[in-house]
Amino acid sequence: MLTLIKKITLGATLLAASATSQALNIFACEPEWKALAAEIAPDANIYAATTSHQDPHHVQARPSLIAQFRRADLAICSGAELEVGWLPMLQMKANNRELRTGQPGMFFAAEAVETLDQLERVDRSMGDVHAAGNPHFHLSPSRVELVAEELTKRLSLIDSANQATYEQNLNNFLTRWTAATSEWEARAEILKGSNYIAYHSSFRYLFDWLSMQQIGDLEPQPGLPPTPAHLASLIELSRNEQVAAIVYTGYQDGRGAQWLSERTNVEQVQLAYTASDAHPSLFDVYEALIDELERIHND
Amino acid sequence: MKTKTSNISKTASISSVLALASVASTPVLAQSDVNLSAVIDGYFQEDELSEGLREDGFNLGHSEIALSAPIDDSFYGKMTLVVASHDGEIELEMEEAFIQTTALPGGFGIRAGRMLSDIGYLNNQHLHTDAFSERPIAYRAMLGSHYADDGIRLNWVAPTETYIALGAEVFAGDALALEEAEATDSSIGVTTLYAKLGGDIGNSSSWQLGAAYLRNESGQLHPEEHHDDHDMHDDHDMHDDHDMHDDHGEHDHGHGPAYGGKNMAIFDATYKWAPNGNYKYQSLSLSAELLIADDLYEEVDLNEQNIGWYVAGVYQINPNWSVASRYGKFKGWNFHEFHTEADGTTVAEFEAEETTNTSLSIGWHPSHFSVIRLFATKEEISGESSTSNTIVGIGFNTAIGAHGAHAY
Repeated sequence: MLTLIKKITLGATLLAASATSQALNIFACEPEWKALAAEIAPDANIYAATTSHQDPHHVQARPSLIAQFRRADLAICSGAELEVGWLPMLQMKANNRELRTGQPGMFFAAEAVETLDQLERVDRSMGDVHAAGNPHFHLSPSRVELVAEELTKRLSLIDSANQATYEQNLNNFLTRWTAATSEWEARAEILKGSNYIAYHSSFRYLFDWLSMQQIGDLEPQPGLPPTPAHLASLIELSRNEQVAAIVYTGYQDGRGAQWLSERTNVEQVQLAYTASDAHPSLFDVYEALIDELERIHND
Repeated sequence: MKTKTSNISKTASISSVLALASVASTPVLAQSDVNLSAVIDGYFQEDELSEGLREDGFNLGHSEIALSAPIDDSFYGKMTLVVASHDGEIELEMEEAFIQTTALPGGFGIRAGRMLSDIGYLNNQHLHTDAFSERPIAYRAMLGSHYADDGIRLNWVAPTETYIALGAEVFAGDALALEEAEATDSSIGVTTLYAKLGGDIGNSSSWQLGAAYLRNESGQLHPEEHHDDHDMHDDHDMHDDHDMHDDHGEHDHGHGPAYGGKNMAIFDATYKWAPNGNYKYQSLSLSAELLIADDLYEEVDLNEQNIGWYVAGVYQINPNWSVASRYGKFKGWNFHEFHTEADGTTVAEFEAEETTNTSLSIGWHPSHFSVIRLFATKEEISGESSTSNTIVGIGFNTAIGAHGAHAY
């Protein structure tokens, strides 16, 4: 009898141990957060809801996303209303109580940082703007640090058995990240004060970080596609100002940039924006960005 | 009788909306997570489609006011009030007023109150998200365009990579009752069971399949009571004589279906495509549904089924323009007359009527929040009263305020 109880106890302990060592499922709304989560929790199953070719403002709350959201122990999303068009639908449909807003499992990166361009007053006539500020902050190294730290706290809360590992991974990441940041900043010294025309406010934090300037936007208003009249006004602008390049991301339509480039002789470039097959880690993304900006400068 | 009931609920609706409106104007609520939104839907069309919701001329369509928010840690709540004009009068209808659990474990969810049933592909979607001015003829004839009712739903989502959702609903059934008397006989008029399955194919495509069963305790007609209604005939509503709610003539829109059956099965399939999964610029959405109902008449054994189906495609050419096309058919059985055989037995005679709709719609989208749409539907009815008619119209549909995300 005693042996039986011992056996059962042993079995239960083993079961519990295997349960805790089971890999976490992480749902990342954007590829940049998948890349960051992979630094802190490399053993987790990390699913990215969007790719570098998909505009995270315009995602369909499709069945596969609901299924992945249901399975996840932690969701990491930019927040600041970037995913307002689809994330609430996933939360509603997936029946995952751990990923309710306010729970440790639902992590909005924007809550860990201070966003730029917060607005006192917002109305639709201003386009797709959000009072919570610009949510494209993954191209700000200091903000990525803050997000990494908060993410580590969340992971430790959800999976306390592996807290030490997460903290160790964070320290390791921060050491490499700080070193890389200084290197990027040194290389980007030459870019200070240079002017760009961009699509949307996607590179707002990059420009802010490296003291570059966005002097024109291909969108007449945030979220609205370029119009001929608006593009024509940008021709005027690039005549009066020295513009280094017209830049856009992998999910933005390059046609407006191309049109403007042909008429102004300003180079148009699709810049690395977020993690992808070509640039799997955030280090790779930043590296590719700085390389490209250097090349533009030297041309 | 029916009119009186709806008047009482109208009064209740108005007062509750006024109460909510006054609450909404206080700053406390404005700062919290309450979504207050309105959809304004206006149109002009030159004629009416059979079993449709839209009248001819200038009208308000399916304009709505919606209020939603997390109630507390465990519940989410939503209320949608629909405002439509019918025969020059404003009609208010409470389309949704439900609470939804958010904290149940194990992938379970419960919704209670008034809600859109989750059967089929289109039914749980709001009318203003459609690419067409009216629901397919199958929905118009068999579900009263879209089926919302008072009841409760239990659903479960599987923890699998492939999306699997199962659900069961019980409803009062009044909104689908073909016979008013029958509806009051039972406190549970409609029961549904459904399953949905879905996933991705690569980065660019996604799909969903659904199957549903609906049992409607009041879904049967009585042949003897309604066959003498022929003077209700009207130029543009061939089906008035079949609309069992319609005791007061053509202008009382009961929203209930004219056709039913005690048992109904619905199958749906959806496929969506966008280049690299980027829906911002271009996308294609294809969907098809099949609705089959049997046990159509009480007391008479009619060994036939009411069958409706449609295939629809919506192509978003660029952020500003979309085109949509839909083909749909519905075949429904109507009681014709009692016939006395030579041996003295009485036999009920039925006739099938088949309606075919071919629709085309072109939308101009100045932004995500507004669309101006030109639409045309060719309707052909064969059977007892054979007709062919093409209806064209123009309408706008705009959303004000923080409108919630829309279903797949």
